[in-house]
Amino acid sequence: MKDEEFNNFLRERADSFELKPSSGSFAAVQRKMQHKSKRRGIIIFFSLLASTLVGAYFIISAEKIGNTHSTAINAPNQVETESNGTITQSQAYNAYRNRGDEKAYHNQNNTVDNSVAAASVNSLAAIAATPSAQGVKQQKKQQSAPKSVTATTLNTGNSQNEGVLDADKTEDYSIAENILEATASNNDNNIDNNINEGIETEEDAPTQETVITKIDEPNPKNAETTDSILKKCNCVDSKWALKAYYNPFTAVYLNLANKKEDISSSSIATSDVEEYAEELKAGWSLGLKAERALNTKWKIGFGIAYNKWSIDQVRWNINYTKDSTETYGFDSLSNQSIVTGYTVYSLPTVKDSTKVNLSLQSIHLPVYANYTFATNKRWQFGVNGGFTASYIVAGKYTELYAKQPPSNRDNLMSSGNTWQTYRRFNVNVALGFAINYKISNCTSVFAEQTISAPLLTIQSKNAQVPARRPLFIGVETGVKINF
Amino acid sequence: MITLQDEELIKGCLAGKRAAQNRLFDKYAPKMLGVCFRYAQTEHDAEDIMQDGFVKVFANLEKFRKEASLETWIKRVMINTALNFLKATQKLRMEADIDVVENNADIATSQYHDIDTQVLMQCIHSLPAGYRVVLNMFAIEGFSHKEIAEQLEITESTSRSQFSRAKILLQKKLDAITKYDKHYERRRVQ
Repeated sequence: MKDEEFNNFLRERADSFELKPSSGSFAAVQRKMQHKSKRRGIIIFFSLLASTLVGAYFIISAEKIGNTHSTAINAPNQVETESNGTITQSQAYNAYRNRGDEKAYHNQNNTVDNSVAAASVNSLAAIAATPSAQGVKQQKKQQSAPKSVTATTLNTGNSQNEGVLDADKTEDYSIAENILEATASNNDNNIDNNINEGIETEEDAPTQETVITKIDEPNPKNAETTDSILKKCNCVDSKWALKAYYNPFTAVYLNLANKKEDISSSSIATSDVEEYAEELKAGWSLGLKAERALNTKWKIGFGIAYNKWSIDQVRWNINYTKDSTETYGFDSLSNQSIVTGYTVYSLPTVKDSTKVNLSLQSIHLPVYANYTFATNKRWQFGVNGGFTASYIVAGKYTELYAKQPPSNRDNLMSSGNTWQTYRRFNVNVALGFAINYKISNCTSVFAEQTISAPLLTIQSKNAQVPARRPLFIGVETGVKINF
Repeated sequence: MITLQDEELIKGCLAGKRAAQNRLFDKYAPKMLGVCFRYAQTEHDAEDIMQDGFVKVFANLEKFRKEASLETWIKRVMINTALNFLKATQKLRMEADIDVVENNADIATSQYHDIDTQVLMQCIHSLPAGYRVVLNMFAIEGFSHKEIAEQLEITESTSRSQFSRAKILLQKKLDAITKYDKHYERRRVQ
């Protein structure tokens, strides 16, 4: 008989072969389907979170640029107070120019806004008083004087905008001159008043030199504010940080004795063997940590986390029937087949088997120290070490599959409150590697790989079941906010 | 190709009706568990594979084109799930054979006709994973060695040699059982 016949023989037998699924099998399918949809939900959640973070990054970046503009726009008022309004005009112009909105600036000037006019008046007053305290009208007639002074003012007025002005000086000068002239002519009377009120004597009037000096000096108030903001929002230097994380990849490694029958022995026997296997399902945890920086290298932290993990435990009772058959040879003397040896074989028969899912929920309180060993502009690499106190708050025992209902031989498996036999309070020692990526001054994302194990075995009440000391391996991913 | 009952079951499942899913499961689960058992290492692995397979069946039922029977389609899903399971759990290890074992010896299947189907399946089940999978795919499912090689990411010659070795080993097991039965019967008669 050739291959084809043998294949047909196997195919016919295989087609008629059926096995009865366990009673809870369909329920398990439903459970898996729900789990799958949950997992899809988690993926969607993380995609949204990632896109939100990216969006937030761009918004923060855009705000930074916006802040530079608004500082420049607001600067005139501040500087006006500091330096008697000598550079408000140029700064205002520069600010508008930076925004690419010169038209708006000109419109504003054409309507002769009082504040701008006042600022211009002050500016002109200062300029007018500079050479010889001759009066503004006289000064105005000498076209070259305002031009040169204005040019100096514009060039030195705002260090941030110097480059912009340098690029097109002639245009800048003419526009600035026009602005000054327009403002001055519209406020002729005001100018006189201002001169009379504000600059009564030659000594009171700031000289051109002082004007320029004052413009060149960085505003100490501004500098202080910027510095304090940077200090407040610096990833490395901030004292306190809050970390929210999700750990979707917690895997639990559980080393469990697995008795197996040695079938290599040639002894002919029948034996019943109980075998165990534990499949550890990936769990997840959600947590919050507060972290305090001691210096640029060391940080300490504490937190709280909710953790869920589960074990699929399979136990089956196997009957190994070991036997042997004779190996025949041909004896030429007797011209008969004789027994030359034995072939040992083993046929395992599963007497009963059970598969259960044990799901545990626990609250973890981690206390840890972090050492940063490498830092660059955006990245931080460090190691974590510490302890986690955990308490099992709830558990669930589900029978997934049973070839035969478990007998009384196993109290642990037949108990509905199986999870309560586990040691509920545990202290775990944890070690990990941490990577931090700075998104903005205040925000960063991080991933911390951790390995933790309880100091004592978590199962203590049932001596018949092998002791458990699971190893939790996970990756915490989350967002860190610096304060 | 598709029976009216299957058509109704498919409609119900697509509408998300749990009762229809349950009926479809009850109808095909025993046969599919038998298929999974041939591929799996243990009985609970088979149950797991079958459950995962049905999750895929329910999730992808709208992709069923009705070109073949529903049973054939579900069976194909189960086989793919089983192969993925074996690959993922690294239970499917095949050593590339340098020497291709050719076994053209005739097998007198008539002597095995008395063997119970359950025992025959147990014998197939007890073969090493690589042998078992190739034997199932080639002899029972009717895949060619080329198709097996593509699916399992092995060479065609490896597939051939795995099949030959599987056949030899299975033959030995079946012979041992036949002899054991005869021996037992002889003793009982004596």
